[in-house]
Amino acid sequence: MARSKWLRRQSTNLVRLAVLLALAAVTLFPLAWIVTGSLKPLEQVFAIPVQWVPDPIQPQNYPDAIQATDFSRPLLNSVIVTSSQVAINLVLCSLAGFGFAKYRFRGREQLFLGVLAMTLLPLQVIMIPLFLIVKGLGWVNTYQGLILPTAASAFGVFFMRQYISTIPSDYVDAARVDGASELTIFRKVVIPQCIPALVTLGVMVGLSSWDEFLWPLIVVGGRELATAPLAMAQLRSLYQTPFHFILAVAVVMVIPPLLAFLFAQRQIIQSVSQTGIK
Amino acid sequence: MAVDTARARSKLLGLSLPRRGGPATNESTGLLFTLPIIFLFVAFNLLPTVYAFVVSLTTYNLFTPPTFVGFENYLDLLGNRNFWQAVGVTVGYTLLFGPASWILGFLIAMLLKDTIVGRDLFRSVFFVPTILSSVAMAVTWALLLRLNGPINGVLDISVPWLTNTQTALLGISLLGIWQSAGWFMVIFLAGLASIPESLTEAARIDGAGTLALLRHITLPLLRPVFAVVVVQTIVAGLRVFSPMFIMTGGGPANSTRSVAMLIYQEGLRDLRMGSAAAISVIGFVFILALTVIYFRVFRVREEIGY
Amino acid sequence: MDRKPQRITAIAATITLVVSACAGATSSASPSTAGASASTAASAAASPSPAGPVTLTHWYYDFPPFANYQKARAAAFQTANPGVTIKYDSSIPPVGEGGYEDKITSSLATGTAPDIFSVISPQAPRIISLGQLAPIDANALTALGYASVDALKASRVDGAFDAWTDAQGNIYGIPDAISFYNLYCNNDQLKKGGVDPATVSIKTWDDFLAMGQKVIAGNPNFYKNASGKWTHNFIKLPMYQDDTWSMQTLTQFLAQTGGSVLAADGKSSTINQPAAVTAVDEMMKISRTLGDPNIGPTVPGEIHSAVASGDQTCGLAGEWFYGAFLKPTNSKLLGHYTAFALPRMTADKPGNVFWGWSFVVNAKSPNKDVAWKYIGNLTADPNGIVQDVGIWPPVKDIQTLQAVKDTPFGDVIAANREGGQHIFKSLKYTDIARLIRGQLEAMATQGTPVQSTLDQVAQQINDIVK
Repeated sequence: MARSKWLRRQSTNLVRLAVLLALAAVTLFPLAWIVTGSLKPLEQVFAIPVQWVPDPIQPQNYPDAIQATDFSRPLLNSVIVTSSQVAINLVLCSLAGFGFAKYRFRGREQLFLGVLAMTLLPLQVIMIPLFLIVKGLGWVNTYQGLILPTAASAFGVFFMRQYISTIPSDYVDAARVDGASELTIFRKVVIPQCIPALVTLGVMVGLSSWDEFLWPLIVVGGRELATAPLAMAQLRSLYQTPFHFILAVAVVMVIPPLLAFLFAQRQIIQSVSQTGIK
Repeated sequence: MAVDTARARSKLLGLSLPRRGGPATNESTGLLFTLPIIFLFVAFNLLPTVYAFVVSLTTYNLFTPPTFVGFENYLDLLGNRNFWQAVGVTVGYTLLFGPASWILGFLIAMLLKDTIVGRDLFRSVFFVPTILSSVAMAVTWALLLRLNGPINGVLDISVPWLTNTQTALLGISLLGIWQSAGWFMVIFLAGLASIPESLTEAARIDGAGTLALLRHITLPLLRPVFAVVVVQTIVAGLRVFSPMFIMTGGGPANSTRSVAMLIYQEGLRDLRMGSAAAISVIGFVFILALTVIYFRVFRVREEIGY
Repeated sequence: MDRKPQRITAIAATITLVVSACAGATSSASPSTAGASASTAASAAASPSPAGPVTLTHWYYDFPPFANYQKARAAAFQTANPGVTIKYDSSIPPVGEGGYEDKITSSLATGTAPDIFSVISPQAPRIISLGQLAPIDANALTALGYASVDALKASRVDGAFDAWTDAQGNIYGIPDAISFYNLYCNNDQLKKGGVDPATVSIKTWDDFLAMGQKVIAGNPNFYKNASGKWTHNFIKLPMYQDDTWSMQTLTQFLAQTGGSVLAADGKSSTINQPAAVTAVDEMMKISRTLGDPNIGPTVPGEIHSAVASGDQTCGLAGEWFYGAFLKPTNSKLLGHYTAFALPRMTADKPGNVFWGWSFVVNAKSPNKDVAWKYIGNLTADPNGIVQDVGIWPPVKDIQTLQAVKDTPFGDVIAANREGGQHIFKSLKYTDIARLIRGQLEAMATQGTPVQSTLDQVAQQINDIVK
């Protein structure tokens, strides 16, 4: 009895494993093609059947591709934009989260619900007026125009507020009794306890910021300010970039999010599973 | 989301109890702390939604001053075949990529629910596509989906995925499925984890088979999770822009031009700001309705502990 | 987007840069002998420098050979005119077809437009109508080095300024080139299919179809696999995923049948009239019997690359094909191709399309005169442009330029200008072109019926222009 149950479980496990392996193979197929393609000589990229081992392996494609596509400036711009937006959210979201979690000012509830409502508001339905506003500010084709309008993360406020709520108020009160100012409490008491949450927030904001395409498309005017997604998309139009170069640049673009994932996998998956609440 | 609602709620409840004693605080300092980010929201989210409505009542091409035309832009949209085609494309995309990625995500979640060799690795593999640069993926998937490309090559078929009006949207949806199945997997996994072990054990002892268990216990308990997933899918459908813009440019023959892309083209390409704003307002009203329903259904107020 | 997108290796780009830098340096000292009147601009370039430091911004679209040439000219101009700085940007995001025009338009609206940029001919009416371009006035003429408008016009081929002239006769741009189609075929592949490129006579598109079918039948394994599916195109017309390329291709065929997109008054469409239907029918016949439009490259630049690399046997391309695609990339096609006289619908009626870009000046620029002077310098050496870039400036007697003489089949190509017409003019060009392009794609890739499709298209165009 016990033995047959054990057997049955093992066989269902085997079936599960087989299905999972098949699905994983399908999932990884495009990535494998992209990565191997980025190391191939041009004429092997579209070989059918797919040539999984490049012959010869050409790591030189990477520096060549970055140079031929003039990609270093866009990468730098993306780093600037992403790190600015991360920094803005780390400061402002934790500040606001603290305000919402530990103070009881009038209109707090309505204000917080208002912020929550922003999580569902996509840029797509406000891009036209937002462009007009940014134009009015004279911010078209400037770093501030590229960074500020899409910086604030409503999810970030929610997330930090939930986290800071779990910090016992006794700490805060104790610091207050010691005569610390509210801002000092925030800096010296709240922030040190928020490090794990700040890491998660930074990674989540960084991922979406790195990925942003529509707003830069609208607001950037010249190559000086182009971000990596813009320059990447440009490779598919205009003059033709060789395919193995396109693939190499694509791999370069996915390395930062991959590193972030390796670094903060648990936090990312946890916060995705919480997006239900938002 | 249902994950540890109960735990979270009790925690939050405890915190929201009025504080007794303690030093006097200036509670309005809290408001001050929230203001910087609120300012950003007002300037770059709230103001634009109001402004969109104002602009939608005008014709404006950026060069000559706007003229007030009342609701003419909205009336024009009713008879505008481009608009309805874009709505159709957006709905079609949502229906093509949504259910398929739910089913895949759910299937994977069911397979990964219990311990199995390499569970974490599998979860990472399925999740990774969701975080990769969507522009880089759109550019490379356009190559993967060529008629003589590797996807057709491996399957030994010749579907002109992106060059045919019949298949272009499907081709773009494949990328959507690939990029969202892992996302939904994570959400379903969290939902499944929230179902008490005792409940499924009890049903199993009563002799319920796997399917019956799924039908009578798992699916009903996951209902709130499904609702979340549906809302996320609808919003994702309304947002979809870069895959179309990059892989097909909205073609062939506008068969993949989404609402978001139409707004972009009307406004920033053809400089019909009024008309673009009118489409935006319609999209906004739709999102607003969705948000209200969402807040109601999920009792967000209680959830956040106020 | 238009002209000659292509693959350029870093080495080739460097060589072009070096070569054109030399050309730029020498030409201001000793203006080229050809294009006599244009060369006066070059000497003007070295004359008195403006008071105070001047910074000019110049945007160009992403076409590396010409961009590199312009960069070198800009550097030489700065040296000859101390105090002038040119900020040059040759890859303006955003992206996607039409992205350059979109960005120009919105930057004009937001006041972030550069001093100098380029406009492609069919877009000119719409951009001129925005009122943001500086007309070529007396000061501009002086800066350009011409005594009068007539002198300016006389310096170029007849009609060179047509696309950039408004209803009042104001001219807004200096065209850098007037391009036109030519037919290029791969000799090796023709021979493998049993056709001798040296002796074959192709007068009409039907001759071309017959030749194509013969070559495909003679070398079937190259074009189709065992199960009869296409693997290579004999020809794929450059008309996909890009409105203006699509209109170029259409216009070439329309010019040969006498058809048109719009009636003479511009108030209704004639795209479903017999002459236009015949033209589109022929385009579809070529597209669907000599290949499968669903396979192979899609955007026009890729199609040119496919011809240059031997993946596609024949191709339609501008006069710049040799200079921009074959020479700098050291294509394996070099010495292995033939440029044919453009086939016609009927042997006795020539017809081709004209298109091209023009340098224009932002009306809001505070330094318009310096800008025009700079443009004059950019266009002052037609021989250098043909040699380094491959495009043909619209100067008279272009056959006399040494660089044209050095271009293989230069005389055949020069003769292909006969019967050229510009793409239709309309303020609604963008909407109409987008509409037609979509349906041309559907007809080619799916075989939707021509007449009924064009009937619908005509109706929709009528709605647009009414």
